[in-house]
Parts: sequence; structure tokens; C-alpha cells
Amino acid sequence: MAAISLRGIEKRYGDVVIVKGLDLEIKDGEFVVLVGPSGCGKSTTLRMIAGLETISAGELCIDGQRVNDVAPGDRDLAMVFQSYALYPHMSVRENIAFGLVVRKVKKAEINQRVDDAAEMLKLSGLLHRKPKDLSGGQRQRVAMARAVVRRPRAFLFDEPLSNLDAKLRMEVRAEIAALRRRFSTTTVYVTHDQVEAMTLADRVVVLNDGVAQQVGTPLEVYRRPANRFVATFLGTPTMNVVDKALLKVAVPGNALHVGVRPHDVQARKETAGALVAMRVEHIERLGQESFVFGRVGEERFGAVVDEDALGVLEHGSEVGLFSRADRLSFFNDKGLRIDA
Amino acid sequence: MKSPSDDVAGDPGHHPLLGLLSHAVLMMTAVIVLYPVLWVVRMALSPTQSFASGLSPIPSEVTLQNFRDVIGHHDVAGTWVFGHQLWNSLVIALATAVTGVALATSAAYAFSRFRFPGARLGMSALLVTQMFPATMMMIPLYILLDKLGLLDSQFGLVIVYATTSIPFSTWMLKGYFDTIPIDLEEAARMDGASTSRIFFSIILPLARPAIAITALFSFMTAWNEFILAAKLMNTETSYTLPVVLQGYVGAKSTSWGHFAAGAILVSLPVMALFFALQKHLVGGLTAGSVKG
Ligand SMILES: Nc1ncnc2c1ncn2[C@@H]1O[C@H](COP(=O)(O)OP(=O)(O)OP(=O)(O)O)[C@@H](O)[C@H]1O
Ligand SMILES: [Mg+2]
Repeated sequence: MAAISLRGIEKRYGDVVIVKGLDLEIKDGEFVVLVGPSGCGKSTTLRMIAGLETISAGELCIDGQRVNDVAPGDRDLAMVFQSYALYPHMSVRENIAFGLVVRKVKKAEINQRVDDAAEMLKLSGLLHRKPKDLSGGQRQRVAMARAVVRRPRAFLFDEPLSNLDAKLRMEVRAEIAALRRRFSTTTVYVTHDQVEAMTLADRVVVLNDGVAQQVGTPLEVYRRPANRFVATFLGTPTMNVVDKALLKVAVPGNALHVGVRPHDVQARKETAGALVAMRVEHIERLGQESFVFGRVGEERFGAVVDEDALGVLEHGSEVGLFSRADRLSFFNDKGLRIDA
Repeated sequence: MKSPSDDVAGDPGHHPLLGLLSHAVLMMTAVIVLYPVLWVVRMALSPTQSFASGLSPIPSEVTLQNFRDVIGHHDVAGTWVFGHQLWNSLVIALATAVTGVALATSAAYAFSRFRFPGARLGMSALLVTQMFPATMMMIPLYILLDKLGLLDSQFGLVIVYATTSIPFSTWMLKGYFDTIPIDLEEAARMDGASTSRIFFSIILPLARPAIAITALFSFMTAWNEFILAAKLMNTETSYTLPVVLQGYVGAKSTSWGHFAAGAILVSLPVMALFFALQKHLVGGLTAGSVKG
């Protein structure tokens, strides 16, 4: 259990600054997800916390103690790698036990702890196998068992699910959530999958270009994005952002743009009193729900449509778009959020 | 190990005549390759010491006398010279292999993983040392060993052989280490392992095929080497077997039968090693091509 604080953390390669002065206080027992597009510096940040990359500037503290120059093995953190990084020549048991063997834990205790971890992650029958004889999902669980068995101060995950197929990903995601409830160990989790971010996190850190764009609970960053980047990065389909002049809506202060998620916009046949009217260019029927897309001004704009109530829409139909006032976000000329 | 063709049911698109032809070609090749070897066997088994003439590799008379002479060679004082020489060869070759592998693995690991000034230059320098023929190194080596008092000593010869095998081994091993994912080492570091622990518990076991091939290479370099051994060793009991072999057909005598018998005896341990390490060698030769 540990609190981790990043104060002005920076990573430079020569003249290139990859992570630009990151500040983050991770509370003891908190599950923090770093999310952002490819190349934004998520892994680099995680690896600096782990000790696998040097920190160019700033201060990293674990439980109030500066650890910038502490070796990875002495930080007492466990990391699950995207590639799993299982030792190919060792059995599953040896893989899980390695960290304890290195730390000279007593044999009987090692066996006990490995058995417990294996049981928890449904690996009991596989302990004698080599990693190459396991499925992707099983390898993933071995990698998690290897972290869990150490009872570290914190877990670090770098895109642990990205090599799994969609169904397995959901299962393992549930498993990680279960582990988390069981241990409530501080966790830093890197992903570019927003579903993982939304479902697992206590707090989400949205990174872009080495800068934290917003830190908040999943609902906060989803409902009240701090800027246009966060607004359009999170959520599918992407949030609609258009010039305020195009919508019939009162905007606060110096707001220039209005954002609203397609989920929060209803398409109807009548146009009276609508935010705006739109010609349907494209319809996506996903089974549970359907979306219509068209253009407002130059911008692509999406809305949900209830075809059961409305009757089947066709391309070229004219629809009116409606939304609750409290679901609108406003952005100024710098793309920053303006509150009403 | 299974070859890919084991998994193919039938082999359509192959004319039977074509199969016959390829077998014929392969058999011809085998005969051409094996013929000189059979010839040596024939000389070894013949009772005469003459350079056998005639094309047949089948001996007309078979005797093991040549082998008995070679193995049982004693000097005037009654010392079992062959025993000493076999022992020399074994000790020197094994020591060369062990020294070579120990130094080459650690050097190769450093070249593969650590960033330090002169890393590239160091690798190139190792390559350059391979470009000079052994005979050219003869005189400087002789002087060096003389100054160190290591002429006519097994230890001196091991040093010389190790220095010639280490550059190749280092290149070979570095290439293999480069293919071992860095993630594994990082995982081990997170697990609390020290660099030496990582080297011994993770890297070395994973590099077994490459280590096997470099060990074999070092062993063979030392076991077969003749020129340096002949010049640097100068008492009969400190000779290695290749020097002895050469003696059978040297200026003083030409006992081709003894030479042939000796040659067969000398090649047996190398063949045994090849068979013993075969499984690892296949992995070593394809090192880095595909990761299973
Ligand atoms: N050794 C290096 N030298 C220079 N630049 C590097 C080095 N390592 C990483 N970078 C750069 O740092 C940036 C951030 O990399 P990082 O791996 O942290 O991204 P990421 O957010 O994890 O992306 P992904 O989602 O693709 O994993 C990238 O633009 C990358 O090119
Ligand atoms: Mg990454």
C-alpha cells in the first residue's frame, strides 16, 4: 500500500521533451488510469514510476520518500507488461515464484503464496507448464499472478489487455476489477482503451503530447471535459463540437464552440424548437441503438434516433436535433471549457 | 525436431521420376564426400605404411595394428607418450572452451545491453583481429609467451587459443543476446533481480543454443590446431595430438598407416561432441531467425 506522488515529472531524450512537467497525487489504494493516444507518453510515465526509465526532472515520491534514484527492485512495485514478459525457460510455478526466490523468502512460504496466487487466477492446474504451452489469456493471468504474489506496494499495468481478443479482454477486465476489490492496492494502469479507463478507474488522467489534459473521476472527464481534446478523445461516437452560431442555444461568456455527445442528442421528425435541423447522410444501426449522422455547418454531427417510435429514416430525411441543456459543454477560443 | 515436410500429407506436384533423380544426385554427393574418409579408414586398417594406391576404398587386408601402435606409443624411458598427449589435447581444448565461453558470454552481454563509449569500436576491433592469419601472429605470440615464461606450457596454449576463439564467440553471442527481449530483463529487475542474477538466471539459460555452438567452436579450434601448438610446445610429452599426427608423416618418417589411424582417433571426440550437442546446435544455427 502506498501513495505515489509525481511532482513536475519530466522526460527528455536529447532536446525532445516526451513528458512535460506532470503533477499527480495518487492516493493510497487508488486505481489511476493513464489514458491517451499512441505516443503521448503513457508508457514512459509508467516506466519512470517503475524505475525502468530515468527521470529527467521533477520528483517522484512513494509514501513521502523520494525514489528518483532508487533501483526498480527496491521500489517494491510490481509491473505487468504488455508482452507479459514471462521467462520462457521457467515453468509457470517458477515464473510466479521468481520474485520471491530473488528476495530469499522461505521455501515453504513461497510454495504457499504461489499456490494461493495460482488458485486465485485459476492457474492451479497449469503450474508445471512452460509459457509457450499456454493460451494468451493464461499467459496474461500468469503475468498477473507474478505481480500479485509479491504483495507489492503498488501495481503497474502497461496495456495488459491489448493482446487479447474482445471477449477475453472483457473477462480479464472483470478479473482485474475483482483483484482490485480484494487487495485495494494502489494501481497505475496505462491503456488507450477508454472502456478500460471508464470501467476500472477511480480517477482517470487524460494525457496528450506529454501533458495531463484533465484528471478526474471517469464520470467527470466524460461529462465535464476540461477541453476540446478530452471531449473528443473520450466516448464513441465522438462528441459533436460545432460553432455556437450554428445552434439555437444561449452560450455563457466568451464561449465559441458547443460540444454535445451523440448519445445526448435525439433526432426527431419535427424541427420546431430544435437546436438545429440536419439532413441524414448516414445511419448506423447497432441493434440496441441507432445513430444518424449528417453535417451541421462543415462538422460531422451525430445523434441517437429511436426508429421504433419514429418510423424508419432514410438518407436525405430532414431531422430536428434536441438535447438537454445540462448535457452541453462550452469551449472558448483556446478550446478550454467554459462553465455556464 | 520435426521438419516442416513431416506435416505435409502426401506430396502432390512431385513426379516419381523427379524423386528418383534427386535421390541419385544425393547418393552421388554422399559418395564423393565420404570417399576420402573411407580412404583414410582403409589406410588405417592396412598393415603397410605406404601411401595406398588404387581407387578402391576397401582394404585387402584388415588389421588394427596401426591403432595399437599409435595408442601404445612409449618413449625410450617407458613413459606412455600417447596418454600424455591425449591428456594435453583434452585439457587444453576443454580449458579453451570454458575460458572462451566464460569471457565471450560476459563480453557479448555487455556489448548487447550496456551503452558505453567505444562499444561499436570494440565490436569492430574484435572483427579486425579475425582478419590476420595465425601464422602472422606466430612471432609476436612466441615472444610474448617467452617473456611470460609460458612456452611449452598448457596454460600458455590455452591463452593463445582463447584469444583466437573469443572474437568469433563474442559476435555470435551478441547476435543471439540481441534477440532476447529486453522486457524479460526489465521484468526480472522489477522482481528485484540484480544484473548478475539476470545474467545467470535469465540470459544464460535462454542463450543455451548459442553457448553450445560457441563452446563447440572453441573446443574444435583448440583440438584441431596444429601450427601454433607445434611451435609453442617443444617436448614430446607436452605435444597435442595434431602435432603428433604431423610427426608421423614428417621429415623423418612417412608412416601413413599410423597417420590415418591417429587421424581417426583424433576426430572421434569431435564427432561425439557434435552428436551430443546436435539438438542445441540446430537451434543455434537458426538463432534469431524465428522466435518460437
Ligand atoms: N529512447 C527514446 N528516444 C527518443 N524518443 C523516444 C524514446 N522512447 C520513446 N520515445 C518517444 O516518446 C514518446 C512517448 O512514448 P511512449 O511509449 O511513452 O508512448 P505511449 O503513450 O505509451 O504510446 P503507445 O500507446 O503507443 O504505447 C513517443 O513519441 C516515442 O517516440
Ligand atoms: Mg505504451
